[in-house]
Amino acid sequence: MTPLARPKLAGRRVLVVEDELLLRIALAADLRAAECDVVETGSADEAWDYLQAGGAVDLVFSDICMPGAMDGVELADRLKGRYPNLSVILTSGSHHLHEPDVKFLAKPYEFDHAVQFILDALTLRQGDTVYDAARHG
Amino acid sequence: MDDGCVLIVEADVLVRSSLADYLRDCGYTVFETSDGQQARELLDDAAAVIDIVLADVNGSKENGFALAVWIRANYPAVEVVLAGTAATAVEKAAQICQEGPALAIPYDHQLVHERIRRLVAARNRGGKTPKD
Repeated sequence: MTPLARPKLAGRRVLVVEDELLLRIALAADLRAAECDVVETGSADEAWDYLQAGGAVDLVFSDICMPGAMDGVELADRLKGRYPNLSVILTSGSHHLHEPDVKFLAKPYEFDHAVQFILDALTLRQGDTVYDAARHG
Repeated sequence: MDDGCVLIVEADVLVRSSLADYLRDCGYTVFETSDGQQARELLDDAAAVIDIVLADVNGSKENGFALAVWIRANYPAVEVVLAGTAATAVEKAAQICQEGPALAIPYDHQLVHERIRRLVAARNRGGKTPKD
């Protein structure tokens, strides 16, 4: 893979929410190759669980249609209310979002393109820092 | 070079992600699934690259013993490590870490357990009413 990472983005934490296991593994691997820290969950419920527990992330990249009580759109709505500064990107092969304040990437996507899309979104919100004592302390 | 690959099968995202971070920092490639069914599907696709399966005994859909029996029958080259509690899982992960591929241990594995306890406590305090 071509080097996509910019050094200043190293350690940025991305939460990938995707129930298609092989897709999630492949995207997460490419994001790690781009020096992002990646947390993987297989449902919006799990993602909400993780964030509610205080898991720190800079960006959430979420599928829309997933098993569980919550879909990606509801997750994005809740995140907007609870964590207004958190970047959220939704992705789907069956839905198309046209809300101006929600970033959206249509499936199927090229992994390089998805990684660049995520890195660009992270670049737009430089300045915040994440500190996790168990990982970096 | 084969750096080693661990599949973590754990229903609790807080435990799973903490163990996965730790083992990645140890130098392993780590795959994560939340249940045995996903683990079987992944093994059917990728058993050749998976060296170790670290599985929760008390899985949400099937217990880890059933998964272990299935793996031993179908993919005997894959090592299976079972853990009954988060604390045990952390200890097992530390042992896996010491066995390689990297010689350096990234941080004290007890920190992983403390992190899990802190996250679970936070969830139990405030995470039960996500509609608020």
